[in-house]
Amino acid sequence: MNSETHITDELAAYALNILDAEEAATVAAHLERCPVCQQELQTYQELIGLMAATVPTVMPPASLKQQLMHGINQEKREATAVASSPSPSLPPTPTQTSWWHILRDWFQQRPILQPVLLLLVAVLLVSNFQLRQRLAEADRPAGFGTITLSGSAETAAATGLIIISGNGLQGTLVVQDLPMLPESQAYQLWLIKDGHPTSGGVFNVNENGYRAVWVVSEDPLASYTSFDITLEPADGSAYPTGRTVLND
Amino acid sequence: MSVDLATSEDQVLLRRITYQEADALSVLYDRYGRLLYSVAYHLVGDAHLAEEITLDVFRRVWEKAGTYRADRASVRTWLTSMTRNRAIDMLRREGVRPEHNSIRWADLSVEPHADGHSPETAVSHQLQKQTVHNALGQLPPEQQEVLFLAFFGGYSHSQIADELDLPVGTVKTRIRLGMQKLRHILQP
Repeated sequence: MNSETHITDELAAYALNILDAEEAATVAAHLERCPVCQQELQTYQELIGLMAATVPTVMPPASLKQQLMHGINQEKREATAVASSPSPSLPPTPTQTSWWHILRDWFQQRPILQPVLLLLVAVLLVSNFQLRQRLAEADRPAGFGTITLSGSAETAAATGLIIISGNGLQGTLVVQDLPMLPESQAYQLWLIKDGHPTSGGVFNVNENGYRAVWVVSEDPLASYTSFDITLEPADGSAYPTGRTVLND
Repeated sequence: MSVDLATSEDQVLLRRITYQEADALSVLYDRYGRLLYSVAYHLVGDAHLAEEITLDVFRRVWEKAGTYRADRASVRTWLTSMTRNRAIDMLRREGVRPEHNSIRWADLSVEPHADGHSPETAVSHQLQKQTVHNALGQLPPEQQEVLFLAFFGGYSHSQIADELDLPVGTVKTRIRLGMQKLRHILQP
């Protein structure tokens, strides 16, 4: 688009929202396809934001915030009642020795075999799943299986796999080819349901970019709608705050 | 793990609001509720309508925080823009015009609007307000006049022309020149 077609003369009025409807529609249509004018508009919007901040202060009634928060909390209660499902707690540190622990230790102690072991575990679990399907169809847990995670644009080479145990409430997250982080940072797994994230564990990877993490949930892992791994401070966060490095 | 919401950046609050955390919305209200109410009040000239607009904006934030684009505007600009647009829509829908005789650019405040910000941010905002106040004072009176009606009245070009008995072209030119001059002063 050349400069003759730009509409810079109209952008200040558009930002002020004082154009007639027809003029505003014309400007809006142009903005959709013109990044130059979009950028120009942003500068006027910031300018108007500054001007707005100079208006004389008028105190709103204290009840206004109460009214807002009452409505929001009421809405949350209703949403919770509809969902009526308990939220999972953070995964406790397992205290008992299980074959999951042995498997995890194997992964951690033999980095060179990790890709092979990862594949083997996946094959065994799928095979196990199929056998269980045949033998105990009625008792088959809903969440059994695997969930594959893919890297973001910055971590395109990274992969992850969540292997869900037979009862659906436990699993092992295996990641590889993630960058090793400095001590001040960590990766954090998030189990997300209805837009609400729950921490699934905080971890770093070894020099090979590999790590296996034990994951425990009160709800079946397969009942979560998505799984994200984000970059967080070393102790983890209460909510995702950093960029996503792996997700499903 | 607890996170001190009161010291969190605006963008962090919005992110947490997308996760439906009511405490984050409460902190955002403490920071901007007074400003947004003041903007709405000076546009519509009615306390009840200003309350309605302020509630509407924060409810919209609660529902649509995920649509905020940090690369397009600061949180303050995003919120004040929503408030102005909502107030102007209401004025146009109701077909009413508030009286603005009691306020002029010279009356604009340099006092802080909110006490929910960190001291550093509050000082920065106050300096910005002082700068904007000074910049508005540098505009020719005829540009101040049309900008005032546009900014606080939500008047369209043709409505300002009717109000001041001027050609529409003259109004457009004065607004454009006034905004360009402000931009030159404030965003060199």
